[in-house]
Amino acid sequence: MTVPDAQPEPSDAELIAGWQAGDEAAATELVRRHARAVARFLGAAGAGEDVDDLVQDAFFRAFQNLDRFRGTASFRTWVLRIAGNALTDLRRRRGRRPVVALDGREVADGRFDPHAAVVERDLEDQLQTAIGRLPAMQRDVFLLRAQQGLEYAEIAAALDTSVGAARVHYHHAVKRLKRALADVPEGSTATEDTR
Amino acid sequence: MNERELTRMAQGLGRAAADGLDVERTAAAVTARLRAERVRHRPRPVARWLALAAGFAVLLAGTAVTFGDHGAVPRVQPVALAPGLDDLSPAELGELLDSLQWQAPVSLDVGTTLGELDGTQLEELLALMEG
Repeated sequence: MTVPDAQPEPSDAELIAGWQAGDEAAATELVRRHARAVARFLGAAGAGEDVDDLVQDAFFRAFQNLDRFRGTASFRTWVLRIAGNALTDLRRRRGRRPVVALDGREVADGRFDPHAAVVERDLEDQLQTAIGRLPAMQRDVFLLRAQQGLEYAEIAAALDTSVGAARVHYHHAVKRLKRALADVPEGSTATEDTR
Repeated sequence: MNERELTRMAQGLGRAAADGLDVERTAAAVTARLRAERVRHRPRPVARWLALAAGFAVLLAGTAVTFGDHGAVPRVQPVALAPGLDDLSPAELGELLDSLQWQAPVSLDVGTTLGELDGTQLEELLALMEG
């Protein structure tokens, strides 16, 4: 018996076209595909308990404004940018600095070292707080580069800026974050990511 | 802390938020909002008819005022039409009157048009429409 070839997954561009033609399932698939990355981005930016609502808002805004999506950056990067803007708007409305929520991270590792885990967690909380205090552009550039692993060209396209400016924002962000974590000696964190 | 450590730590941030997200619920919520927004922006015939009816009332009021000022002699004056009324065909206007459940005053002859009404007749008509 021959097994029919599995159909290749539709690309983001095909799903976008599908949604624009009225296919609701295409929008659902796009959310499924990228929602966790958006949540991770927002979580790192200090969105805390607002992550779920902001993820929804970001996708809703993205679909509402698809006619402005030029395709110079990927759909995911574009939604990440909208998510960053949504977070900035939320903070502006509330008129306060981010509150970093404790999020119940657990280390599921056989070589679990409680002390190292506490230190690591404390550092991550400090870093998350410091990222949340960065100017929005620096925050977004830093996270897109360091967390999402994007090239400067794609970051620049997503944020409507130049590659040079994106590099400068990243440089300033790193400088500020280092200053915020100045008391942490070099090499105090694990050198290998065991998670 | 050096840049490499900083980047490594940044890569680990937000994982709990990502793991905690109910993707299916999020997708359902987003599509529900999009659906609601599409429905909200869909042109609704009832709303269009209501707008037309309001415009029709403005037309009648304007006509009555014009005739009231000058007795029974109609003076031709521009009457501000509500948007949408001026491009209606006679058939569509007839449909509009039907939708308002308007009945001609007894004193009006069948086939009378608005332009042929005198001030009293228009007042009767307005009174009827106002209920």
